[in-house]
Amino acid sequence: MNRIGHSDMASTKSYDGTTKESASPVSNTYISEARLRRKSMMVTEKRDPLGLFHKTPPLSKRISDLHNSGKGESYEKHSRRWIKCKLACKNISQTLELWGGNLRSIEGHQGTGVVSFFVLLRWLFGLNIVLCLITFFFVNVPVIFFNEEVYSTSLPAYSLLQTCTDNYNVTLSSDPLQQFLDFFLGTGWMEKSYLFYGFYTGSGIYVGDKSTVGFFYNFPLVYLLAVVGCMLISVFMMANHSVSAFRKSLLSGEVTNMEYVTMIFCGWDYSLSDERNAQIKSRNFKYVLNSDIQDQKFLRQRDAKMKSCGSRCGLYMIRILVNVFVIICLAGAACSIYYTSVFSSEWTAKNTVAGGTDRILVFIVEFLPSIVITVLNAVLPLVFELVIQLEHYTQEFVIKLSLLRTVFLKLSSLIILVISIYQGVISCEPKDACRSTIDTCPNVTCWETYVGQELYKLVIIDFVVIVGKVFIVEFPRRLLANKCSWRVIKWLGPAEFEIPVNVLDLVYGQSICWLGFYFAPLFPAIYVIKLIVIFYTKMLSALYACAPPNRPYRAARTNSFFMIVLILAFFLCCFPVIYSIANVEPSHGCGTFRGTLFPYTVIPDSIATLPNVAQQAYNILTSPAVTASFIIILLLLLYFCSNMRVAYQKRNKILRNKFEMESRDRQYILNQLKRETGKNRV
Amino acid sequence: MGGSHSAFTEQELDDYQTLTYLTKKEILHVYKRFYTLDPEKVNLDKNVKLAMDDIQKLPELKVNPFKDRICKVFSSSGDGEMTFEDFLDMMSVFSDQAPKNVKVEYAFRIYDFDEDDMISGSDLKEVVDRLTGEQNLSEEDMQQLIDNIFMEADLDDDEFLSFAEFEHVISKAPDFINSFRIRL
Repeated sequence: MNRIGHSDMASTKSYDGTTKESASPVSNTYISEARLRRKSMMVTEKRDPLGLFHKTPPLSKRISDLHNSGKGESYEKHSRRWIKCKLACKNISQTLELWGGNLRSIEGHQGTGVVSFFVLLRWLFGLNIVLCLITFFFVNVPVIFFNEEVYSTSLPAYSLLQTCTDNYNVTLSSDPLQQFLDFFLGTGWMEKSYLFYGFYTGSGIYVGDKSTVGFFYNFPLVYLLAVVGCMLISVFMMANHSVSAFRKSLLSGEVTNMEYVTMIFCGWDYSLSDERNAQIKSRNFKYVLNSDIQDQKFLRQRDAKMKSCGSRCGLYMIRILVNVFVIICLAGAACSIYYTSVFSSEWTAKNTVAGGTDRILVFIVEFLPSIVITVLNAVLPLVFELVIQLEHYTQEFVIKLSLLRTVFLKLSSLIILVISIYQGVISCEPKDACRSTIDTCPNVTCWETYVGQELYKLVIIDFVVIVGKVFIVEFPRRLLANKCSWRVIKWLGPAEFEIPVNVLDLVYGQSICWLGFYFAPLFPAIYVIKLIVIFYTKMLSALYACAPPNRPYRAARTNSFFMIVLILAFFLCCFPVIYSIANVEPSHGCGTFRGTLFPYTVIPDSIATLPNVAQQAYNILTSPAVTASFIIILLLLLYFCSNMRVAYQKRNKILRNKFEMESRDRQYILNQLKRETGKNRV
Repeated sequence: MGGSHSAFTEQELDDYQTLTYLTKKEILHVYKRFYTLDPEKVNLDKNVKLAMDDIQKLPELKVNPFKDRICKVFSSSGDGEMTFEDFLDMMSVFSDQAPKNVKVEYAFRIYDFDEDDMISGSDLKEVVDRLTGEQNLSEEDMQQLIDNIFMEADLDDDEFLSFAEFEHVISKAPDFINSFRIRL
């Protein structure tokens, strides 16, 4: 167990004189070897007998050691230069750190748990900036700066394209109120903007002079590749971010055994500097300690009570009932979302503004599905929290289970919305040749833009709710708690900065972004702006309005849980996008894939224009044989890795047992020594 | 801050950067904070030793229940009085870039109240008392808690936590690095 102080920093020398592991005790710079041996013979049980604990000397001593060491001047200069370079890079990256000062002040006020939320927000901000840049440069910039080519008349589907494009007309209202409402609904002038899929045409762009060769920018292909590229980059960045957290949790394996040690030794957040919050923290600490000890007592009492089969069966019955209730709630929520969505699209088809219905009424009914989703997302978790008390779980498990149920609720509400759109509009037959709906189906000429609009409304409502909650709930509660002296108000107290709820909101917003950016390429840009506003709003809330959270936030463990949820949400949201690309016929009157059979056919068509060799290579690579063997190899690697993990955990256990046995041996030898020295003295 | 930059020679800044985990910008920032603790004394001699009470005026330390232990551990003279280099050492250990084994070593020294290189039951009791502030745990709960901790961490069953046992247990705790951190 020799450790070498700060020497991992400088490669020149170690500061305590020892450089390698040896069986003999570490030579402490302050105590000579002989004296150490004598000390171990005397053995009061208190002293660390083999002197395995080695104290790093203070900085002043290390500096003088460094100067006295005098290894070759040139060698020092070399490694010094490299170290200087590294330090300069670190200096630069520190100055460039985004929002660093803000995060530090939040940390001083609220502690590291709350800061982890803001760190996640900042990381999502970075991810969305990358996505935004990709879509902007590949999709928007060419359209802004260059004119798109007209479809060539030689195209087989040309007449179809012509009629469909003419059919797709969007009424642009001149009424200012309607224009204002259009901004939130995504209709009217918003529908014809860069935001939605329907705006983009499917031909290419000639860069440079058309008469000379120039460069033909195949727009549909680039659009598709940009979408796929964004998804791959998201996966890569998420994997990168979570790998270090996973590594720690996988290798340590026995984390659950260290509850109390973690609570005591990692209990105080050293970065806290605000006096009031520090007092709150120490009060909370006692509360948490008490509740954990109560948990233990509770478990023991419950196990004692559960000895009888009757009460155990009763408890299991209650748990099953509660779970059934939760499932019924979720099913009820799903049904209400579905029917609201269907009702909304049917009602707005019948009662249009042009037909004379009040604009505001139409506006509200259009927003109805999003409002219903948001209300359910806000109310049902509270219901779950109430109901979980009946199940008699320990406090920790209660938190995990409620979180799981809330995650399930949020993600499934998104899925139900997508399914209802699919059933209601996309798979609703009959459709005309332009793939716009006729007769019984709600009137939609461009279904991709319609999906984009629904998701856009969801984004707007979500944003309004998050910002509104800060200003309408948290600030007033803080004002009341400070000014008002009624007992009820005092008991309610100021709002708490609930980290899991906030992180889940971020995850939810990001999954809407992923779901929608195929149908509305500017979604990442909107989300970037949304994140900036949310950051500053939540920062105000953390600094001025909210009290620190009651329970200590186990940042590392819960962060990896949220990463898992984020990845799960990503794959859930990928599926509708991939399905639309591969299996649904695109509208022929709008968007960049008009005229194609399915959007993905753009790729084989472009491959067909490449030289033969490339085509052969493509055919081979996508043949079933190659892909099947690739998948099998991946599965084998996965199996191998999981076996390695089990092996490492076993080795961990063996080493721990060895350590215990060595300590026992040492204890035995020391006792023998004591007996011998005792005899000698007598 | 122009003034603080000229307070150090290039060589000193280099040494500090090599031997601590701080960048040049952070070192100068630490000097600025040290300076504000007692401007007159530091102006006269930047290697002056400041008394423990002055050091504890720092906001991050003022609210910390272990502030006296921190000062004692990092003080080179062992009595709680710190020079600038001791202060810098402290900030370096508490910074983000310090590796885990360094933080574990100093955490052990801070929590070892009787300075016998072992954490005993009374040390643990003192830690818990400091953490709970004014409202202390009942005797029974405290004993239960200490028993639980020894059950988790004390591998050789000698009712003391040696450094090896402490390190073994704390390195597994992923939240340790997050909590043992002061950023100026």
